[in-house]
Amino acid sequence: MRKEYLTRALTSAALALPGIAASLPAMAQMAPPEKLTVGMKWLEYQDYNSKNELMGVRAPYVYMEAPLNEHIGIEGSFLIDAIAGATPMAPTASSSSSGSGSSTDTSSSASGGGGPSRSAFTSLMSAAAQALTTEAGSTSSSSGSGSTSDVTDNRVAVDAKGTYYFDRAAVGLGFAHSRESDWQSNAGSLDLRVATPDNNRTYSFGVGFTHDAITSNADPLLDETRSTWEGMFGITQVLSQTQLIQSNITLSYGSGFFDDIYRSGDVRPGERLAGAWLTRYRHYVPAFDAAVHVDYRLFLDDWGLSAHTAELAWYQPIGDDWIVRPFLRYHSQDKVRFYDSAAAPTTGSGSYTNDPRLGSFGALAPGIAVEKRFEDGWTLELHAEYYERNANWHLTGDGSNGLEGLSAYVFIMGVRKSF
Amino acid sequence: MISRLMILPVFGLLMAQAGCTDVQPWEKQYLAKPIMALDPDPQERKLRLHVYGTREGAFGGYGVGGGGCGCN
Amino acid sequence: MPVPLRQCFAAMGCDCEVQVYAADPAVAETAAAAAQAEVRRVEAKFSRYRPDSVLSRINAAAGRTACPLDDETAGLVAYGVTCWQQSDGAFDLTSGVLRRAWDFRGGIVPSREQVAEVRALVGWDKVRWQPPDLFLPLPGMELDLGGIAKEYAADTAATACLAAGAAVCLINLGGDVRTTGPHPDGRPWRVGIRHPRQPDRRAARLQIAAGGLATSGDYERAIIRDGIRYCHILDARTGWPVAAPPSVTVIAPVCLVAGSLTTLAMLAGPTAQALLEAAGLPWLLLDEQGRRCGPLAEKDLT
Repeated sequence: MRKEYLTRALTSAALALPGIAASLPAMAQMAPPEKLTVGMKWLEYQDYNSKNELMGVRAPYVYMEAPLNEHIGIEGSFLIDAIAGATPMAPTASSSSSGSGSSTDTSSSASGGGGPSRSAFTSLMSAAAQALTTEAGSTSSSSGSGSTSDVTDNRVAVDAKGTYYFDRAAVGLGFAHSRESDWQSNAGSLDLRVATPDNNRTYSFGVGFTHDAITSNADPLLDETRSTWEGMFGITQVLSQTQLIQSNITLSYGSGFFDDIYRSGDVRPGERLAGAWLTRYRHYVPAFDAAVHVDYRLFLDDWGLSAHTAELAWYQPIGDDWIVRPFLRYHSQDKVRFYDSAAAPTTGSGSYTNDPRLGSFGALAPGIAVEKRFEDGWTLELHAEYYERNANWHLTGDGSNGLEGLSAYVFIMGVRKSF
Repeated sequence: MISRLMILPVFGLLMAQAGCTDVQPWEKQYLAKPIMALDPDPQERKLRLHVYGTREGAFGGYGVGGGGCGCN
Repeated sequence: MPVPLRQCFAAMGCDCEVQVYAADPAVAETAAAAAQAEVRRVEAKFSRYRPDSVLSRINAAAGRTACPLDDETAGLVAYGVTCWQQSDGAFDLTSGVLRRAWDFRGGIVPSREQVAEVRALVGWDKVRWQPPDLFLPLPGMELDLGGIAKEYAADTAATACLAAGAAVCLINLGGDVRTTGPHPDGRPWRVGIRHPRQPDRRAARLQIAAGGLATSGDYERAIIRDGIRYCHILDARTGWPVAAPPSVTVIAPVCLVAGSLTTLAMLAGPTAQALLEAAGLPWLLLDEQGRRCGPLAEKDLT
C-alpha cells in the first residue's frame, strides 16, 4: 500500500520546496501561444456522383497565431475557395412548372447572357439561367434524373481573433467576414473559458452573431438577408492521468432567407432553431505512446433534421518527428420534414426541398493524416480522405429513396513554421 | 430515439469515474502531449468541417462565430 | 532563434556543466552565471566541511540544544524524512556518521564492533523534529544532506537559470541532470549512461525532453576485498552496504525525485526492480555486463 504512493509522496514533498516548484512548467496557467506560428494549407476536394464529376474546390488557406505580450494572443486566417465544376441542379423534366420560387420567373432577363465583358460572373449567370429554362443542361452530360451546370466561383473568407489571458481564464473576441458572388457574411463572437484552481475542469461559454446578405447569380433582383444567433456552453474535465473529456451544447437560432436559389422549387422556412451536442474523449495509450480520439455529435433542429456524427481517430507517433493518424468518420442524418427526392409539388404551399444535403442518408469517411516535424520549427502535414454518401447507410437503413449517392476525395496539404 | 438516449449513460459513467481521481499538475505529462489535445490542429478541423458542411445538413457544436457561406 | 551556451565548472566534488539557450549571448551568460552561483550557494549552505555552513551549525548543537531551521533547510529535512519513511529506515539523514567507520578512499573494511559503535549515533527515530526546530539528542550525531543536496542543487540551479532569462537549460552535476525543456527545435537531450564496470564505455544513451535524470551505481567508491564488493550505499539500519544493483537510472519530473528513487532502488538491493516498477516512472537498470533492463531499455539510442 505504501509503495503505491512512493512517487507521489516524494514528488509532493519535493514540490513543497519553493525552489523546486518554481522550476516546473506552469502547465496550470492559461497563456497565449508561446511562439509566432505561420502556416499554409492547401485544401482540395472533388465530389462525384454516379455519372458526373461534381463540385471541385481548390482552396489555399493561410493562417497565423502569435502572442502580443504575456497576456494577449492574436490569430487570423485567410481563405480563398476556388470552386469549379458542376453543381447538380433540380430535375429538369418538370422545370416548366417553375415551382413557387420567385427566382425562376426571371428567365427572360437572364437568358441574354454575356455582356461587354464576359467575366466569370456573367458566365455563371447565363449558365445557371440556361439550366433552369431549358431541358438539356449545359456543357456537362445530363440525364433524366438531373442535369448539371458549370459553375466557377471564388469565395474569400477572412477572420481574426484576440484573446486576453488571466491566470485561469481567457476571454476572446473574434470577427469573420466572407464574400462570394452571391453571398456576403459578417460574424462576431465572444467566448470565455474559466478553469477550476486544480485545473482539472474548465467551463466554456460563447455567443456569436452572423449576418448574411444573399443575392443570386441567376436572379439579379434577389436581395435577402439572414441573421443567426448562437450560444454555447461546455465543460472540459480531466478524468485521469490518461483521459480527458469535453462536452459542449450549442444552440443556434436563424431567421431570414434559407432557400437554395439554384434549386427549382426550393422553399424553406424562414426560421431555423438548431442544437448540437458534441462530446470529445481523449485517451492516452502508454503501450503505444499513442492517443485515441472519440468524437460524437448529436444534431437536432426544428426542420425535422436530426443527425449523429461519430469519429474515431488513432494518433500514433513514430520516432520523434512523425505522427500518423488513421481515422474513420460516420455520419447519419434524418431528412427534414419537407424533403422529397421527386420534383417540387405543383401546389406550391409550404416548404420543399430536394437538396440531398437535407435528406436521409449515411456517410462514411475513412482517411489518414501524416505529420512530420523538421528542424527549426517546420512541420509538414498531409491528409487524405475518401467520403461516400449512400441512402442505405442511414443508421436504421431507411434512407431517402432516390437520394443520389456521392463520393469524394479530400486532400489537405499543410506546412507551418514556429518562430 | 433509443440510440440517442444510450449516449447519456455512457457519458454519465465517464463523468462518474472522474470524481474518483484528482490529477496533480506534475502528473499531467501525458495529458500535455500534443496528441492528447482536444483540438491538435484547429485549422485542419475548420477546413474539414467546412467540407462536410457542403454535403450534410447538420452543423456546429465546435464553437461560435465562424460565419456563413453560400454552400447552404 | 535562441543561442546556445555551455559552461563547465567544478562544484560539489564533481564535474558540472550548464547548457543554456537564450535570446542573445548576454542573457545566456547571465543565466549560466546564475545557475553556477546557485549551485555554489547550496554547496556552501549544506557543506560538512565549512564550519560556518548551516549544516555545521546544526551539527555543532547536537546533544546541546535544538536548532531552528530556515524554510529551505526545513523543506529538505521534511523531504529526507519522506525518503526515510518510504525506505523503512534504510535511507536516513543521520547516517552520515557511518563514514567514520567506512573509509572508502582508504579501502579498509571495518570490523563489526566499529560499525556497531558508530551506529549508536544513527537513527531518525531518535531525532526530535518539530518544524522548524530540530534537536539531535546525542553529541556526535550529525545531519547529512549529502544524499539529496546535489540533486536539489540541480533543480534550483535550473530555476535560477530560467529566472535569469534562459529559454531552456540543462544542468548536469556529476551525473545528476535537470532540464527544463528540449532543444528549441524540439529535439530531446541525449544523456549517456556509464557502463558499471568499464569506466570508459557507455552502456546506454537515453533521451530526455524535460525533467530530472539521475543515476546511482555501486562502482563510485566501492571496496573490493576477498572478492566481495562493498559499495558506498549503506543501509542505515545495519550500517553495512547493501547488495545493490550495478547501476540504476530514473527519469522523474524533478532531479531531486529522480535521485532519491535511484538511491531507494539501490537500497532495496534484490527487490530494486519491484520498487522501480511500483514507482511508475521511466527507469533503467544495468547488470555487471552492461545489459539493459526496464522501460528505458527499449528507448535506448545506442
